[in-house]
Amino acid sequence: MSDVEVSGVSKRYDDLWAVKRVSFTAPAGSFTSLLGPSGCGKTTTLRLIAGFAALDEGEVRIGGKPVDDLPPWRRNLGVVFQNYALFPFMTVFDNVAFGLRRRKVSRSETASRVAEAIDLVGLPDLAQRYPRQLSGGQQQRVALARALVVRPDVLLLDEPLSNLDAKLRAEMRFELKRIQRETGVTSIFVTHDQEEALTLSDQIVVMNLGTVAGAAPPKAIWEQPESAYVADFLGVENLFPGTVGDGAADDGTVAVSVDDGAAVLHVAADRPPDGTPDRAVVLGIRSEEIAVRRSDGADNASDGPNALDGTVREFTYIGSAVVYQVDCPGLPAPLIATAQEEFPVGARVRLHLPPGAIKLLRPDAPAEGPEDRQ
Amino acid sequence: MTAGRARGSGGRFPASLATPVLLAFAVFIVAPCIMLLVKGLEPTAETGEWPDFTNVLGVFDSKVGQQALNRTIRISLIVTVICLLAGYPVALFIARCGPRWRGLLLAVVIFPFLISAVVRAFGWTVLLGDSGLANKGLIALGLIDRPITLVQNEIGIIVGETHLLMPYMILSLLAVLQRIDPNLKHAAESLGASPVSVFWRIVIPLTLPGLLTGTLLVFSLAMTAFATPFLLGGGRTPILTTLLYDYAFTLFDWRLAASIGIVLLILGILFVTVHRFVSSRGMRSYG
Repeated sequence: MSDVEVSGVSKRYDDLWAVKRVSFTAPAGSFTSLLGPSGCGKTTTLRLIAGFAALDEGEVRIGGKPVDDLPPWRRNLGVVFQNYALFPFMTVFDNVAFGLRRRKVSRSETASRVAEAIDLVGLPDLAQRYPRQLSGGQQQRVALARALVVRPDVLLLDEPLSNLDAKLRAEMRFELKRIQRETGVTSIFVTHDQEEALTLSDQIVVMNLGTVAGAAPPKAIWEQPESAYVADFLGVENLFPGTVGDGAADDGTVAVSVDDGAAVLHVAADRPPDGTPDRAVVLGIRSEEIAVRRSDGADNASDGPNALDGTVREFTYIGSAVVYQVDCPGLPAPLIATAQEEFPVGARVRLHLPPGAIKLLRPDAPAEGPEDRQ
Repeated sequence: MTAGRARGSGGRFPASLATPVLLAFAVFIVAPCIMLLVKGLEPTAETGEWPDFTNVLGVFDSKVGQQALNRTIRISLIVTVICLLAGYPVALFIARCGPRWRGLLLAVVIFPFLISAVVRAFGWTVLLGDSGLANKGLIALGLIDRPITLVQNEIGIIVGETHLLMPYMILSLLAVLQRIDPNLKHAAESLGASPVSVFWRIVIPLTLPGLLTGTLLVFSLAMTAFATPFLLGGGRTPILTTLLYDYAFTLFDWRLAASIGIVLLILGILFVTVHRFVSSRGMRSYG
């Protein structure tokens, strides 16, 4: 097993930087996800690691050795493509055996290793079928077996689950995790699905506009995202720009006033996040951390800090809970909150935002348009 | 899957749309074929009975007929091989070009279709003549001492037919080359296949359908070409089609002409049958 070091890698297509100074390390045997919306450069980064495209700046090292001068067929990688890219005119057996035959592995060893790989990915006996005779999930497994049978130093996965239906996707997620654990292969996984990234990874690298916006283990990135962009991408529904007030209160919180609104929220933090200029921050809180209850119209001072009265604007029932859009005076946009209880549209509710649940986030640099990436 | 759906849902309606063409087919292709058979197998002697195979077999027996037959097959094979070997790299190159260059190059490829056979043949006669550009070039390069005959013989026919038929090969190949998923090449590369290996093991098998269509088109068109071999072959290199013309319009022997027609028909059917057999074996996995 080898680690992968991507340092300062850039790639431009014509006038556009597809990736710009991207750096991260995938430790040996780990599972790293590149997470971001389409066009953020995550697939380009994967293609640069694979060697399908030449990088313009920076360096990729696999197992400590620079690989930028090596063509893809000398890098000893396994790649699983979004559309599987199985060879249509070859049987499952020949597809899986392709890499072994290029490595001049003996016939008997090829047969046993192909059988082993097919077994590892949990495929039934389909070795003599052609790809078009298989279901999407089966093709996915063949693609995995084909990539793993050569015992690659690194396994690269380009949105391999996005062509499967929801049920199969959830099942393959467990399968991927099991296979990665059993083989221990260093894996780099490209996805736009935060849930996939959270469930599979040891490390998540969030990308935005060709750059790395944050990199951390799933738990850390979930609990304390590095920036407002990362929080937004990881499903923090409520994000408001704010300004940190002077001095800490004696209960260990700081007062943050919401911009374009009168509300002042108390946040359990001793200082703004690193790299925050001029006390400007973004306040973030997940919908499920907001407590919702019926408002009795009484003064809310007795409820402690961060109690807000509001009116239900709209709600959607999602099975496990009800998601509310609540208009609160003093906030520039409606709050998204979830509750078990049902309130009709127009109901007066009281929201409580626990100071410990509010995140102080670093605001992102002003949104860069594509022209700024030139 | 899509093909199956198209076949399933569109049963009756397209059949009615196809009727006019099928009728024209019956009248203008099947009927002449029957007339050809009637005429070609007409008994020579007054007392003979139909069918009489003497004339058809006579084509194989006579020296002129045999030579023409061999020459026809030889030229068609050579033209097919040249079109394949020369056309494949061109198709590969065009497939790799950006959209703008691709359009321009396609226009160049299709250009032979836009020139009449007479003008094309005249052009080649000038280029390949004793004092033409080809001979001058070869002399200048020191490859030959004095002009060699490049036209009014088999070489002329081969050059002319290759020029005429190359577009069919290139367009057939391009149709499949442009549909190849680039990820298939990347997948093969990542598994350790060098570019040469990717070409032989991935690109060639993926282009097999276009390759087979191209060879079928070029070979059958080469075998039945008339104007180009007539104009570039001269009188001393008859092939089946020019021989047929001689019998019909110089000797006015319609019976002999029809029997050559039957031989061409048999050759065509034979080639298509062999081709279909090879295709069905080679493409079994394409479904």
